[in-house]
Amino acid sequence: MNNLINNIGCWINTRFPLATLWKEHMSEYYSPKNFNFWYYFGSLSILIFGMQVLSGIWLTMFYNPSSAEAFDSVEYIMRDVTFGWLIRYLHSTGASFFFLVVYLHIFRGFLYGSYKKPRELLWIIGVIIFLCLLAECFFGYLLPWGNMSFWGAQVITSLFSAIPIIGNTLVEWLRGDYTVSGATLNRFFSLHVSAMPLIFLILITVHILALHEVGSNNPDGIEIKDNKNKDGIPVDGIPMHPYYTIKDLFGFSVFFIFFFYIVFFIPDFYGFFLEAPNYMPADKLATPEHIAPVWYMTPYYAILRAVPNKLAGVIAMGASIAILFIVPWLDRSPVKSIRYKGLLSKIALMIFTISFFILGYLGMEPPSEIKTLLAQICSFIYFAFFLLMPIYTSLEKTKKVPDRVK
Amino acid sequence: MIKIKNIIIFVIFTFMITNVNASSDIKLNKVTIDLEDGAALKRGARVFFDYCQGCHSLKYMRYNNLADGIQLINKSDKNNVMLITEYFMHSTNIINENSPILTSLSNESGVKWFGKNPPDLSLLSRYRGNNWIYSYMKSFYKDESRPWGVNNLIFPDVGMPHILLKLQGLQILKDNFEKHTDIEKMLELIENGDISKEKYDFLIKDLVTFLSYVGEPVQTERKNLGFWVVLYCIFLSIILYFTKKAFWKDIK
Repeated sequence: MNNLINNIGCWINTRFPLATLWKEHMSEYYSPKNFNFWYYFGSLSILIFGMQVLSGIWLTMFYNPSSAEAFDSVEYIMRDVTFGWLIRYLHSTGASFFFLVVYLHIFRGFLYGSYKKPRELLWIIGVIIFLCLLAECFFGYLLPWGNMSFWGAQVITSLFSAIPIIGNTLVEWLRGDYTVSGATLNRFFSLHVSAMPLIFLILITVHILALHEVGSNNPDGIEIKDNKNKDGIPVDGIPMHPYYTIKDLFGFSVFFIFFFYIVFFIPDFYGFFLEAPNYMPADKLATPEHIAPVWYMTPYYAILRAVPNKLAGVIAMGASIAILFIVPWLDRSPVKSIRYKGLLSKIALMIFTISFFILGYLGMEPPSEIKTLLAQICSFIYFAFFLLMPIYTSLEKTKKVPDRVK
Repeated sequence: MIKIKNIIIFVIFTFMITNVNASSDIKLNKVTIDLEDGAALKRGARVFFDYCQGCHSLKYMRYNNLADGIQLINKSDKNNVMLITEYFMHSTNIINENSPILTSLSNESGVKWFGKNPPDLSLLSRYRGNNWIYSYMKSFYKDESRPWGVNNLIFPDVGMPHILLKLQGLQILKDNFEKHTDIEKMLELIENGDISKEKYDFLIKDLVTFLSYVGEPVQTERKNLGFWVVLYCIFLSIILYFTKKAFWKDIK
């Protein structure tokens, strides 16, 4: 039996580099041994991506992307399809958890300077994936064809009309109609289930290839490749498999405790994951009392609304994400990790994080004078964190980085 | 002909607009329901079929699923159709047990009588919430300016008559009440109904239990299943934690 498996293995390896790939990316890929809590979220986002693809395939089997049938077909999935409710809740909860995990993954990057040389390109690819995730979720949110889906898409697509001269034509082209309609639903469905997942798959592969080329950063921000033994193996590195595969499996199971708790006990998560107005079918004559995007987009929505001028607001919203691309060149600090950075960086990251949360809250709320003012202050802090980064990272005194990881 | 159509569209449109601004600052009454209480579900279903189904449908719910869900059908009982007909229908016609629960009110009559077709109530509990339904059914009050002689505190200018008027009795809006206050402090019963206030509240609570069930029939099953899934994940985490420790024991 063993002999047979060996022979098959041999047969494949002379025709496809299976063993080499396994060695390069798993059994002989060396990761720093000091990964902490924050390093679970990369593998968790791959897990969620897989779950979204699988649950999405099953949803697509029963969902009907026409404006007349979409809402009914979602209720059909919830009631008549065997375990359809579970598949749908896995998908809707998965979307929110995807963002949760990706936000924590990005925050890890800020904490330990994972964007700094030589990982600039890795970071840029990551930001592109984040942009795709925003688009993917925006397209998917229209599909239940509830009233909030409809008006959310209406508001977000109308933002493009702020662009001078071509704005209105562009909006019409995007929607395929004068308003969001069945035509829009069909194209969003197509993008959501075919184009975007394909792009995701490619970008995630590229992201991992880029990571394995430069090697993982770690909480100390020390390059483990600078310190190799005589066999050329980093002394502070351990093989990805079995050490991190088993550790990540543990991470998966703990994640599933929280994930399934929400899926089975509070799938709408108090209106944050599934909103009450979306249980009314799309109706272009009845605007919901208060239109707000889902929680994961609210910080940018708050920035948009904080700016009084529509075009300037759209630019500010775009810039709030685009600015992530240049972070590797904004950080002038000689050290990577927050552990060895000075007080200024720590305070800056803390204030930034708090203001990001406040923006997230404000994006869900109906605007008022005081809230708009608060949103303006927080938007200012948001941009100041990035734009002042070259100054405070080069001014502050950093601690000495040790040669070996702890 | 076109004129009439325009008028209808106008009427529908104005109702849409009023519906949008229906909620106000009034505090909703809180209701605690128990979806595993089969008797309450049955009583609630009875209220729905006696009073609501004349105008409102539950188009996402099928008769046999409902009969199953409110534990009307005994698994050994062969004659489901008879049972469903007997329990839910006032006519003696045999219904198809697989058909969705519709109303006999036609669209045209709905628009003609109420200005707008009475909405389907399958998802009401998810759209408005249980507390809202509970409070809504308790906040009708006398208002001669409205076509049906009643208005509603939490759904101002609602197109619906107070269908349970005979049971609850007639309430009036008190002259002086503070804003943001309780429904019960704002309204006063001036004509007693057939049943006491306590019994009426109880009846509405049963109705809310029923509508909450209809909003998401799988709720109870979901939570029962979820308990085992989460428990399994906890056990799995414990096992994987020690496996990880064993694998990592020589890493310093």
